[in-house]
Amino acid sequence: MALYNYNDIKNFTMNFGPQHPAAHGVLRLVVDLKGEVIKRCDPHIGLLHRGTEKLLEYKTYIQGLPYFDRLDYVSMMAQEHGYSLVLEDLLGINISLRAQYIRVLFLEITRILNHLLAVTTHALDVGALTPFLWGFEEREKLMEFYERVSGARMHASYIRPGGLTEDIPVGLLEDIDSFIQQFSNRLNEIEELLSGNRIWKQRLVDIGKLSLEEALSFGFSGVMLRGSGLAWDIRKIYPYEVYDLIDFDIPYGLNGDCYDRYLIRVNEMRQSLRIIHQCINNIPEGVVRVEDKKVTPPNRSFMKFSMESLIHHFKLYSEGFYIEKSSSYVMVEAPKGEFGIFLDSSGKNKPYRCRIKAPGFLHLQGLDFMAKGHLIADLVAIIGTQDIVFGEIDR
Amino acid sequence: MEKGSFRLVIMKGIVLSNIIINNFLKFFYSSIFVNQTGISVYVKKEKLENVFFLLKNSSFFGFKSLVDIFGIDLLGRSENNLRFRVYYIFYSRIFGLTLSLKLDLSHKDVLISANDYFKSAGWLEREVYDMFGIFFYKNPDMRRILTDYGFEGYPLRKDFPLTGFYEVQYSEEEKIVVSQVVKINQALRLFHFSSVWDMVKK
Repeated sequence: MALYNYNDIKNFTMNFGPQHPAAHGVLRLVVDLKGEVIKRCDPHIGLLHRGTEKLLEYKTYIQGLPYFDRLDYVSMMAQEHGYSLVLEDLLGINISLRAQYIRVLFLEITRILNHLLAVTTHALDVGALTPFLWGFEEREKLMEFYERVSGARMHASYIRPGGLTEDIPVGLLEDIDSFIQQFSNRLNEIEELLSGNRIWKQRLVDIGKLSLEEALSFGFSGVMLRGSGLAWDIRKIYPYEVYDLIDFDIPYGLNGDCYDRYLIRVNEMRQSLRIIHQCINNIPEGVVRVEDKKVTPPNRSFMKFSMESLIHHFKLYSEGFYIEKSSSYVMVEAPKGEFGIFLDSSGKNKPYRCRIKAPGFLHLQGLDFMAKGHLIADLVAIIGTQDIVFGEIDR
Repeated sequence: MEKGSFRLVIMKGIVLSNIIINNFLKFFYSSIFVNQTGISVYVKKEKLENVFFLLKNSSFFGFKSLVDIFGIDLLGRSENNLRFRVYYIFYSRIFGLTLSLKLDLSHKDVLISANDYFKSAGWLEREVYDMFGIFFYKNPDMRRILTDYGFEGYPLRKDFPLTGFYEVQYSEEEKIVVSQVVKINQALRLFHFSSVWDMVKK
């Protein structure tokens, strides 16, 4: 009688996605399994590749801005802010304090928007539906704030080179204030349901563990790096806008597992509330756009009687502005991690080369390493913790 | 960490960057540029692996993470007839410093992979290969990454048209996705905005 030798069983290769709901978009994973244990997983990306970097080379600087909303489509303003910063760096513009405060205000709203989606869809993938429903209720309110300032619920193009599209409407700050008053209670509810939950902890604690050395070597940033125990945040290290005037803390993890990263995300939302609160209290009066009419459009009402304004408006939106031969690399702390933009100008009104460094690209590269040796169900938890959005990875 | 201590770390970083340049990198660069937050180094191509080794293994540097690799096509713009420029961006998370290495290479040159030293290099190099056709040897997995399976050409090269060469669509008759030559009724219009008044603009 011959015993069945289990070592003879060949690995099982399986496709995960691109239409799997837990794949967060269009991720195709080719997974090698031995039983239920992952031996290798090879992400095939590029299914949402739109060639943003190539398209930007054919658009003027202002026309290129809305492409950034569509990269990471859950943290829109963080990216248009990065693009605006790199243009302001090249043009040598300093924007007004009021515009900077409004930018920070909306950047933190964006951070809450992103982390709400990240945490609650992560919970959804693992099996808890309720936080998802609560979280999306709150996201709806935040998108309303987006709508009130820019007219668009998601792809706002509100932050532009030289300041903002326009000033915030009257009464918005009061409404944001009443939102943050109640939102920390909503966070408490989500935490009540998840943080101490036995199932949630069984699925997350010690899953996808990363040491600091590995996280650095993989080039991780944002929550993925902070989870491994380094309090690295560009908002603190190279403060841009008014982050150096604002008091906030950087939460970081100790164990580098999925549970720590979940706690960091929730804590970052609380820190964002603190920042928003300080912004509302300290926001000064003033203009929100620089006066240079070569960079920002003239006031709409001026165009009705001023020929000069009309010409400026026409020239700005058809021809755009020119940037002399120079290049700049700017990194901002987007909700998902370090979002970098390299812009090389050759003296024309279009970028010669615009490189977009998406944090998710490097995170997804580490998926193979993080998932190796885990069960197939944990793969879903790891994808959830990496907070993957394909708009930015595929560009 | 207190707010002040971050500033201190950055100050320390600037002092350190001078030490780094004077003592370590001088063997490997041909020109260098230093600003508030980082160092930009023009590296010799032959010395690239030595630089990776140095950055990886010296705890003094702290440049433990390679965060970005990207290329530029300098077609018709380069001064030394080398077509491509490749940038490597490193972060020192200890000192809050960036280091950008850049090097020029012709379309025939290949580069050594940083994969043995930095794990993040794998996909970043695949992307540069996919977009520019710059090959990195010693990279264990040199497949294309963002473009379609079976894609031809290198999209971010300046001689690659914006619309590409082929498009795919689902054929209702054949019940399969077919690839065909791109047909656009209107040619791509590029406005050059040249006018006689250009001399007014410095």
